[in-house]
Amino acid sequence: MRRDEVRFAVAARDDGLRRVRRLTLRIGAVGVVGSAAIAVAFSHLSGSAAASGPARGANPAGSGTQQGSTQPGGTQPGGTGQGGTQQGGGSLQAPAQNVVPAQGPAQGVSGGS
Amino acid sequence: MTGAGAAGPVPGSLGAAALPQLSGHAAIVVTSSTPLWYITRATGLVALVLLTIGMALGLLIAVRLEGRQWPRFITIGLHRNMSLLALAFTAVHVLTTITDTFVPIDLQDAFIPFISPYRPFWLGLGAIASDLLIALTVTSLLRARLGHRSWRLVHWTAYLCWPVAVLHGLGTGTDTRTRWVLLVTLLCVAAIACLTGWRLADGWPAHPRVRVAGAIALVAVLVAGGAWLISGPLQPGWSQHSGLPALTHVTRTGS
Repeated sequence: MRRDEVRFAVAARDDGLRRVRRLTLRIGAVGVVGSAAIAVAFSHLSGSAAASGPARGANPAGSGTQQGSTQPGGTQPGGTGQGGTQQGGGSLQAPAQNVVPAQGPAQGVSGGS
Repeated sequence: MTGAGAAGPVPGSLGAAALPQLSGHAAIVVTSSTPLWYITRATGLVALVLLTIGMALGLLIAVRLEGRQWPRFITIGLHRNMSLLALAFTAVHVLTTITDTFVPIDLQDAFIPFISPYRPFWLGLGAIASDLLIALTVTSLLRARLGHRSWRLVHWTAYLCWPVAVLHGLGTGTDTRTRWVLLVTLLCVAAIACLTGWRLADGWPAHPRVRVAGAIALVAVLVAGGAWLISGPLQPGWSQHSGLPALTHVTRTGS
């Protein structure tokens, strides 16, 4: 193998490794920023639920709001304010919907499935 | 853990402490601010996307995709790095899950499947996926010492790790009904399904009947998965069935 061919191969390898490193850094950065943005979006969703009030049966976060005791609004103080109807952290929330029976079906789950 | 979508409670339902009160059949729910809980869910979703990218690159390596401007070693390097990134985000996902007091999940729950009081089955799938991801990463890092055959044997479990992570994300159901989260998950599934189909069409496995059986199994899994998704996690009240712990239990262990 001629010397210039070796040099070309080494340069191509170095270039490839640089591309891998650059792409990895970019994707990692996008991942970090994306995680932060998604976390904020989730808090906004909870905030929206809070602003819309407890009468709504469905949580926009799409998280199965059929828990009897759930009150979509007001229970996520981490959410950003949208309408200022949120309750402060740690506040007591009187359930607006039907409440969970103390010995409801969910009780059986705690033992495992 | 790839899992996407963290094992999660209903946002705005069971908080750090949930007090069964009010004449025996009612409850007052007390919650706390939970930024960690949002980070858990976000990093879970990002970890799934990264795991999907890593898996997709692995499949592209298998079909020997390369070009003049894109030599194969770049795909191999990216595959390795994406898997490591997925592991890093999974670590954050696990760490924030066990640190956060929003749900009663301990360290052992994150690694030993099906022992968590909180959504035990679906969280257990996440534990399996994270265990497999760790095994895949460690064996890949020790590939030179392990030998190709042993490494390949363990690496086959990637085909189990990814779908288990997807099921973990969908089954826990915290964000399954959020449209854009569902869209991201479905795009991940579509990408891997297409690339797996490509690999089958590319001539792997060598025996034609096995390839046909693989293609039929792929379609069957997609149809069954779609039916399960529609009839299960996308239905209202899924979190009830997915193993939300009793209020009393959360009160005892959650904070």
